[in-house]
Amino acid sequence: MNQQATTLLEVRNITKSYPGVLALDNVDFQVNAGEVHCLAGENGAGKSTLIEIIGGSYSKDSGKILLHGKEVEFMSPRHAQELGIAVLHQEIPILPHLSVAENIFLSRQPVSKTRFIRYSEMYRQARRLLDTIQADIDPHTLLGDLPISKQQLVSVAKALSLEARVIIFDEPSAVLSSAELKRLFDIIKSLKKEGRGIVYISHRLEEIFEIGDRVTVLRNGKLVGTEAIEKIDRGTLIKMLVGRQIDESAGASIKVAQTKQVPALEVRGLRREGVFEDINLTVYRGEILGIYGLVGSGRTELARAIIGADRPDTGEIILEGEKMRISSPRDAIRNGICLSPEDRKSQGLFLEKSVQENICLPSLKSLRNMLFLSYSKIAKYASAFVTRLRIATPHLDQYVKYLSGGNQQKVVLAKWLGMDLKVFIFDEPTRGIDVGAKEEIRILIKKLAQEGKAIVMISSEIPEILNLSNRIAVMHEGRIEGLLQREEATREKLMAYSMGAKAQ
Amino acid sequence: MKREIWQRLGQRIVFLNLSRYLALIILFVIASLLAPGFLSLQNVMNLLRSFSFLGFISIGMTFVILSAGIDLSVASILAFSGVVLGLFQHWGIYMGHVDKLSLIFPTPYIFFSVLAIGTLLGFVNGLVITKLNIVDFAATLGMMVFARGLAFAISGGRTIFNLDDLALFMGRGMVGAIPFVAILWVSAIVVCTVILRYTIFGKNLYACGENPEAARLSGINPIFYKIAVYSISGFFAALAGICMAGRLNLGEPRVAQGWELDAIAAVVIGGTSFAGGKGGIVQTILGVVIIGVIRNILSVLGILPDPQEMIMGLVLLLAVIFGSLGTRKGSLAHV
Repeated sequence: MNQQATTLLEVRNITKSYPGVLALDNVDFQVNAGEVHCLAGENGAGKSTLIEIIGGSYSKDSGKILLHGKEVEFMSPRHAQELGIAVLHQEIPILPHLSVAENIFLSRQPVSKTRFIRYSEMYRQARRLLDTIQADIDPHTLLGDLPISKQQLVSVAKALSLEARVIIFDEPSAVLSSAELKRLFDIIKSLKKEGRGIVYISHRLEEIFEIGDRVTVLRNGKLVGTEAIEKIDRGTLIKMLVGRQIDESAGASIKVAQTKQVPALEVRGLRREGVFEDINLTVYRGEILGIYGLVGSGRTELARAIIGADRPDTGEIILEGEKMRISSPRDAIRNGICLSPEDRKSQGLFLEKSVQENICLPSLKSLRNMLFLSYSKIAKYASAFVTRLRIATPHLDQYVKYLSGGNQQKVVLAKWLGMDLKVFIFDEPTRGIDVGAKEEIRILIKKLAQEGKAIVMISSEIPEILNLSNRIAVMHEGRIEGLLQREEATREKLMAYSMGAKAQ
Repeated sequence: MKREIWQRLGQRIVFLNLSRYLALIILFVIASLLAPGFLSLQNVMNLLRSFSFLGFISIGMTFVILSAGIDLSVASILAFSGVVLGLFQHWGIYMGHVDKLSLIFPTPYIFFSVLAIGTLLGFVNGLVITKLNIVDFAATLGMMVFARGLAFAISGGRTIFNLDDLALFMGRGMVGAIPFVAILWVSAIVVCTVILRYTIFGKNLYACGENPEAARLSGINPIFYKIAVYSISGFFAALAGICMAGRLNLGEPRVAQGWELDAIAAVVIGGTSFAGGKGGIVQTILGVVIIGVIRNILSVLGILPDPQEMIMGLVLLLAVIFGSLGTRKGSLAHV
């Protein structure tokens, strides 16, 4: 790094506590002009709190914020924006029924002297902003009609329109496919060249090494350290993140033996108009079938169709040699197929319900005395899983919304483990959760396969797919572009297939 | 640190309950000051009776609101059921003789058929909402107008006087010093609370109310639960209709105008969330009692019906604001 780099934003000795929790403890952090500063840490480490303070959403308890060397107090998100700080949240707050341009210029629309909005001027400016980041988006489109990846680009355009000097990306990769992420990286690089300071938050180590200039690691609200990327390696960073050595290939040591090829689930000629077609897949007992594909390739829709959440137009689902009529997830579960959905918060969990209630919901039938639910049985059942999966929760009655992402995902899995199911479909089982929990969940998936369950695992993380799967199906635009054995699969092949190019 | 969290949780719970019950306590104090004899056994039993009618439809409404719905048709179904009861007991009305009782079939069967008709109307609400994909508000608004109209149509707009003794017992009967209808109401509360807390039906209902998509992916059929809650609501509206007719000794298409709003208010004051999935019958009792007591106070003070409505409106607003102080999602306050 250039030693002379000007510091745009600096926070010193920031402390923030919530009742019973010290979220940030004396944390220092600087962003220089023209650098990408990655912020890393497990969930609950204090990353979000830090950026909410920088973005003006939360107030700090003590400490200083310096902008261009001068001390400032951010009174509100709007105030921080006016001073040149833009936070691009993971869940982008949008008004889906307004156009792209109206979202960009919300409450700052260009007006004429008579204070009326000048629409043509607004759309012209929006067009120009979108062009500077080479986003192929019509400013007249309703924002809600755009895929998330493009909504993300609109937020970038909005940040540019705010003349933001510091732009904070909060885990953009959680919602982007690898191709989209590559485009975002290009944009970030050009923003960096213009001398803006970028803060990039991510769980994924590859990204940090690819895009970052420096990395700051937080753990339990404390600053672990700030390092220049070129000076550290993967192992060091992981150690900083989790505070202990983690063998990333721990999961790999559990060998999944495929002795007998007994098909558990067969999908034949499954088709849903405009979403996917001609899907033929077989998953064997004790096997992990990985499905890789870009967002929008139809992989999630395929999973939903298999369990009957959306009805396919044609096709057959055969479970252990018997043709199944699956018209709802209820049928699927009865027959022994379950899905752990991609979006766990909105589809997998009841956030306002307790850990106990979430875990027990599908298995309540076996937790009764005669007709009535037995709360002692329920508590026993739930606590067995909390112990077995090492779910970190203060007590069984804790609302699931207060758990970290990794523990929430464990709750989703716990829901299904107690039932005698045959096929498990995992859609992005480790998305958005911290390194330690990722590894635990991967090991759990492998163990399930060892027990003879058939596993379908959808993931956009190539190392995860390569590490866990026995075979890998790659989807592109609603079709299975290729089916690879683990031995023949490589990163390049997966990428090529997923973009529609059959490997040479 | 852990203990601290527990303590805070404890304080929060105490605060919530207190702020709710405080409203009630204040009301009781005001009432006893304004009307000596308010807390006499006689008046308490009277109050208990008068709570019951609103109480029944509020039980049904609790089920509906737990499922994140709303049922505007309850008061109309209540009136319609009373009229049907009257007609079934004066079957001769169509042949010209009005005042003499002429049962279409024995009274217990009449009760069952009225309850079945009410349930059916609720079932239709559920079907329209789930199968035709109409929002709850619009579907039940339609039923509200339709059922009230039907009540007028089948009675020709007339009031049907005089019911038989069994029907009167439903509304006026006493078991010892306690009104029968109150016993019926309390039993309904107990049964419904057990259903909500100790059966899979109840648990699944809460799940569907909070997040229907997650419930569906967990193997629950939200459509079934939606139809079920509206049927339950229809059932309780019909039950209230029978008791109300018995109390008044008439089948009258004009009864209970606007009661759907009282029922909704009762449920929400109790703390059942409009967002669905949170709350319960026991909480609703509190709402019913608050509304009932306010009405009682106003009547005791001799305030005429129209200004009474005006004061009710103000008091309800206050009650909701007050009731929502402690909870974010628990009431009418925006999240």
